[in-house]
This record gives sequence, C-alpha cells and structure tokens, in this order.
Amino acid sequence: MSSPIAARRRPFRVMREQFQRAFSDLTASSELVKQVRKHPDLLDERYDLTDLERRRLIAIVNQQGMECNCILYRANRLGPIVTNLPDSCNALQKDLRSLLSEYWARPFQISDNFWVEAYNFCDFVKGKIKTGIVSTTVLDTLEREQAVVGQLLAQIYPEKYGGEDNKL
Amino acid sequence: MSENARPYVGLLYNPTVPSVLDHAGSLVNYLAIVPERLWFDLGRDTVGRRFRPIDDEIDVVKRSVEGRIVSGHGVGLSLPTETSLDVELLEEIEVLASDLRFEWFSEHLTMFLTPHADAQGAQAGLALPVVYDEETFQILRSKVLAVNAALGCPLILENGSIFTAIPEMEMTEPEFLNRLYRETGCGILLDLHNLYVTARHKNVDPEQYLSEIDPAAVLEIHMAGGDELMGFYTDSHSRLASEPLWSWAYEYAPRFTQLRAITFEYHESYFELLEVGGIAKQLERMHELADRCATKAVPSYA
Repeated sequence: MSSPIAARRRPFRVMREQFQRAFSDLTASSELVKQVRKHPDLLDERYDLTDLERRRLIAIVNQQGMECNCILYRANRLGPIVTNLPDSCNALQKDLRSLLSEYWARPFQISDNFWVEAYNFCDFVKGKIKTGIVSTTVLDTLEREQAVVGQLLAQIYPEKYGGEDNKL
Repeated sequence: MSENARPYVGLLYNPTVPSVLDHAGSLVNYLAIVPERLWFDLGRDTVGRRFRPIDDEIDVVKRSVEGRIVSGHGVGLSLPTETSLDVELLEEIEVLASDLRFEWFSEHLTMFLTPHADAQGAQAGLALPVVYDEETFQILRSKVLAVNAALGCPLILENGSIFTAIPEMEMTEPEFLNRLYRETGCGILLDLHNLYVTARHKNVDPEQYLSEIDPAAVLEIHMAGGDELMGFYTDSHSRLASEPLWSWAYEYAPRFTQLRAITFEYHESYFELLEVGGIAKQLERMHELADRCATKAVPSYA
C-alpha cells in the first residue's frame, strides 16, 4: 500500500475511488467500523487516502448514523435470503448470523438479484456443511429451498441454472 | 401574479399500483417507472444477453401507463460513483424510454454502486452520500451530459436520505444541485421525505435547504412516509406523508416554476397497511397541492 505522501501525489481522477470504496466497505462491515473507531490508522493500511479523506471517514464512522448505514446494509441483503429461504434460516438458528457476516464479506454485485443472492447463499452454506462447520441436519431443507429458487432462476438464465440440479 | 402549469399527480409504480388504478385511477395522471424492475440484470460478464425482460410485468406496466404521463426513475446508473458510465444499461433504458415515452428521467444524487477492484458493478447495499466538491461535480457533469444525449429527455437528480454527514465539503447540497442545473440543465427531484429523514438525523436544516435550492430547477416532488428500524428513522416508504412534509410542500412547491409532477412513493410490502383508501386520500391531498401550485405562483425568492 502506498504511503500517505505518495497518495497526495496521485492523479486527480484516482482519488475519489478509494474514498468511495472505503465508505462502502465500512457500511458493509460493522466490525470494520469498530476497528477503525479504535484504530483509525487502519484506514491507511487498507486504502490510499488523502488527509482530508481520512478525516472525513474518521468523522463518518464516529457518527451515530453509521450504525444506521450498517443496519440498512444488512437489512437490504437479508431480505432476499429470509424471503426465499425461510425454513433454512430457521434451521440454521444460531449459526445464521455468523454465516451471513462471512457470506457478506464478498462483493455484492448488480447481478446478485433477489434469487441469485439466495441461491449463492445456499451454495455457501453447503460448503460449510461439507467442511463440518455447519450440521448436516440443515442440508435437506437447504437443498429443497435452493431447488425452488433454482427453478425460478432457470426460467430467466437457463444457460447457467437450467441443469438437472434445478429440476423439481 | 403569473400562473404555473398544474403539476401532474401520481405514483411511483410497483406491482400493487394496478389495484390502486382499478379503484382510484382518475386520481392518477402520472406514473414513474423504475426500469430496473422490468428486467433481470445478469451483470456485465454474463453468458448471453445481459438484460432479461420480465415480459408479464412489462405488459402490465404498458396497460397502466396508457393515457398517463410517464417518467423513468432509475436506480442502476449510480452517476456519482467513480466508475465509468454503464453504457449497456443506458442503452437498455433508452429503449424503454422510447417505448414508454418518458417525459423525463430521474436518477439519484447518491451512490448505489461502489468502485471495487474485484467486482464490476459492486453494490454499496444502500444509497450512500457523496462529497460535494469540484471532483464529484466533474464526474457527474460528464455523465449527466451523456445520459441527456442518450435519452433525449430532461434528467433530474433526487436528493438522498443522509444518515452520516460528510464534513468539510466545498459546497452544500443545494449549491451543488443549483450549479449542476445552471451548467447542464439537470434539474432536481426534490424528495421531501428524504429531506425529512436527513433532518431527523440532524444532518440538514430543512428550511435553509428549501430556501437555497433554485426554484426553477425542481421538476418533481416525492412524498412518502417512513418508520423506525432499530431506533433509526428511515425512508422505508411504509406510511403516508407526514404533516411536516405537507407544510414544506405548501410553503415551497408554489415557488417551483417548472414543477411537473408530485409523486407518492410506497413500497408494495406495505400496501395492505396503507390500503387503497389511504393511498387515494393521499392522492386527493396531492391534487389540492397541485391546484395550489397552479393558481398561486409565487415569484422566485419571495
């Protein structure tokens, strides 16, 4: 990661990208917010920021409204999963929160629509079942609900979801 | 005293709007359509067609807009984000704009997408505020001109709900929007509920904000209601508009000389709570406001 001096010499156009990325990363992770509140220098370890950008982000994370940003982020991402996988969410119980936090560490893309989010979360949890982190008792429920979502996806994106796995 | 054209009154389209039209269609002479709700966007690196239309939804929308004024209300371009303009998405919107005959197109003055090294089109997960300075202005200016050229109709930008204020800005939001209007013709979609949310979080003086924006720049007003999520008031589109919004609307809307529409936004998941009757009453009140805008034009900065 470049030094603060190098950061101030960056071409004009590059600057805003780092600030925007940092702001959205913080919104996606209340854990990162807590870390930056305690250790603001963490921002320079992760991002190429000017002094002004750093001051701005430190001010932002220390506002009460940052909690609201994080809550809304999680609520918006939770919606597709709870709506499409209600029984799986119920079955995962106390594991659900930590699984979601880990799952949401990956970038959230425009292609991660309502059904894709739910489908991909199922694959993620199945990976955790394979490695023994999550109990196999969830598997049947997960696969049943994933198949329903898969069928819906197969109608719009048969090239990717039209395989045998998604036939009921 | 001059008269302004009477603004249209309508709704932001969602799948329950046809039920409202069945019962109270005469109160709705305008619909705003979110293009991104009419297709699945499979992303830039998809195999085959990126945008897959939802034909059933499109058919219902086409029936709903017949005989009504229509605009587009986009959520996918994320104009203030420091990434290149999504030309493929703009082309898709252009086709819809032509098909449905958008009179204008609105987007947001907030960031929905975020620059990310590992993912094109990474989402921020919610609408985040942006820095109001020369750099953001130039990012927006070039994209606004490109969108204008592509769509061939006026573009306006909506103010967002701000939960965390960005300090040490070069401009206030009204100054930024006013300058964008002066230099590009890009107008304002004044979301009074977003302003209310921002004020509830103590990030704006709403009266100062409303007195600073250029009255000629406002083409559309949004009205909506919200509620609390874990102690924070949000723009959930879950309620009817509250009295502070009406107070602002009656005070300032007659000054907006180019105002074309007053729009109520609600999320379909709250349709049963709001009821058709409640939405109809909201529309009736919006018509009273529209009448006031048409008959009592106030000179600018009065």
